[in-house]
Amino acid sequence: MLQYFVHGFATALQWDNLSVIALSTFFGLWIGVIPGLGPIMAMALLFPLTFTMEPLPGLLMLASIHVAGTYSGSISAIMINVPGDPASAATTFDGYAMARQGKVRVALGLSVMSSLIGALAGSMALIVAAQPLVGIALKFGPAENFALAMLGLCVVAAASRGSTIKGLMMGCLGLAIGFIGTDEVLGYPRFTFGIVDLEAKIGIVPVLIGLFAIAELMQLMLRGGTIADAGGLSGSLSDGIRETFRHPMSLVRGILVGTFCGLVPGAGAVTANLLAYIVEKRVARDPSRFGQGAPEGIIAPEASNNACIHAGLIPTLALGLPHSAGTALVLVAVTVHGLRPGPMLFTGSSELVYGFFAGLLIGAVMFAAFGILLTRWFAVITIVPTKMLAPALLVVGLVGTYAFSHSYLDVIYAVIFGLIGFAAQRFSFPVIGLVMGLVLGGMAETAFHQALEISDGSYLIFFERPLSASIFALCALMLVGPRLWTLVGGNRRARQLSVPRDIPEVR
Amino acid sequence: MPENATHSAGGGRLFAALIGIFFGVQFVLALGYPSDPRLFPLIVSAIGFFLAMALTLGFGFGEQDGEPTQQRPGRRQLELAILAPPAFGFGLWLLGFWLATLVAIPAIAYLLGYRNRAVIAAVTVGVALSIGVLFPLVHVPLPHGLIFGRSFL
Repeated sequence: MLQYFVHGFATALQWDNLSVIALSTFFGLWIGVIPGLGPIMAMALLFPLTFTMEPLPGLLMLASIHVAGTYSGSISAIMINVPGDPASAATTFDGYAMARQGKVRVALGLSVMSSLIGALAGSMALIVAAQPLVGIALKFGPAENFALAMLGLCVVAAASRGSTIKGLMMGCLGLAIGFIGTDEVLGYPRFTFGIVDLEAKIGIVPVLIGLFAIAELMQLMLRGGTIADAGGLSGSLSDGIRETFRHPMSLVRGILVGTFCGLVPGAGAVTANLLAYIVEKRVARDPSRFGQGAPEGIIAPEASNNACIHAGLIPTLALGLPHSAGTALVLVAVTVHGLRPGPMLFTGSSELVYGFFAGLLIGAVMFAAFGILLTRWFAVITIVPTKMLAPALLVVGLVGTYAFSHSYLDVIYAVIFGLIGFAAQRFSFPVIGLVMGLVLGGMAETAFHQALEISDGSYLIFFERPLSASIFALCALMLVGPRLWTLVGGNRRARQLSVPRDIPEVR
Repeated sequence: MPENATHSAGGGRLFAALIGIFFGVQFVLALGYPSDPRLFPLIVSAIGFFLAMALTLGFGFGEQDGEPTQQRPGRRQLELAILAPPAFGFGLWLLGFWLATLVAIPAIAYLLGYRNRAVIAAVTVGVALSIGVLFPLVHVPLPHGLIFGRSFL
């Protein structure tokens, strides 16, 4: 394998391939920053070009845009609380909190370094373990996929500050909103009231722009001042880069979550980003730091989504199963050039495959270099008066929503979800649950019906299969475990100490 | 308990109640669908309804939910924050990108209390031009508006 890899590097470093990677990375970075546009749209725009290109530069162009666009989505997520790409939704929670503290450059440093490490680790997983990992992915049937979707919701609920019930209800709300439109399993229109436009599902982009961008600019209008509360900037990009290495376990957890989500068709980078954040908050000694600018809240989600993009190429190339719209475009580009995805691709077209892998590693280094060079200048946005910034953001957010699907209905969705997000923020309901429910809803319902089809309608299938039963046991543990633990620990402590109840909680 | 805290908890219950109504309506509508398409929505909306009712009745609100997380805003600011997004969305639909943007940015900035005319003009023109030029450059169409239609661009 090593000689293939060395040969692949030599191929990828040829001038024409290198220039394609550089230009595509720059284009992906630029388009990923703008809310509503995003790497998938950029890939789709340039997709026809791949027909006229050689297979390797064509694939490298698509992959470089995908990877760079996924990273740069975090830039606007951190600076203005608007994820440039849905896969950076969770990065807003602590990234934007750091921006408000005037530490936007530190947050951008954390983001660029964890994205780079996530991308490199995801690429290595792709290179070293593609074939064995495919074996694990094949063990996941519909029952396991449904259990995984439920685990995602339970993790959100368990990590919700203050109330598990609120987290669960918001998760259910996300699932329920996902029902509006044509049923993915049977093609039956639901909750559309006969309106044809409602038959298409509510897209994740207007929901995210509404929940994060519109809701936040409403808060900005109320709060006044600047995004950076101190009115100035502190810290530097290199502080953030150094800080990343102080949290190696957050990186590892993010990469593992991302690689796992990349392997499971239907999970994707959005799920990876959200799940990594929730896992990080769950394992933290002091979860109250999350949402207040905890570095781990940026490191894990950014490492995760970038690892996921790369790991997502494993089922795409090894099984022909794309896990997202981006990898689907890569898959089509592979087949357009007469190549057949599957195990034979790795041996029959080794020069192309390993050249592609090497190109991914080079692309990751390139987006980090561009990111370090360019993002420091964006930080100034956080010290612009919000009275001027909020209307400009409103225009960018809603026009970006329209641009996503050229539909006024999406603008209406963004406004509605903006109002929901605004209310949820004010009354401390976790919007992350709603997003997770919406993202996982399609996968959950499809897997639910497929599992019942396999079992002739018996619900026992979810508990008879060891893997699925284990995941459900984990769900129960997540929801009930902490309460039992507190109850047992609390009773014991109450007997030992008499602590006054009005000690203020540290936020 | 401070006054803001009462508002926060009361508002939270009202919010949960509204979501509960959404689940209830969805449950009733789902009953009219064939057995397979209705199964999952029935399960989810039933669970969601009971969770929302529990919250409405006051279960599931921790002690920290009663604490005010933000200062209570002025009524005028609150009205502006709530009305600006739907108003601009409506403007996009009616007037199209150019006119809606050129009106909305200065109007909202002025209503928020920003008075530096040179900055307002520069930001308005800058945002309008950067979106108006860049989006068509990557073949992304802008909203044309009902009144002006395609002829405006």
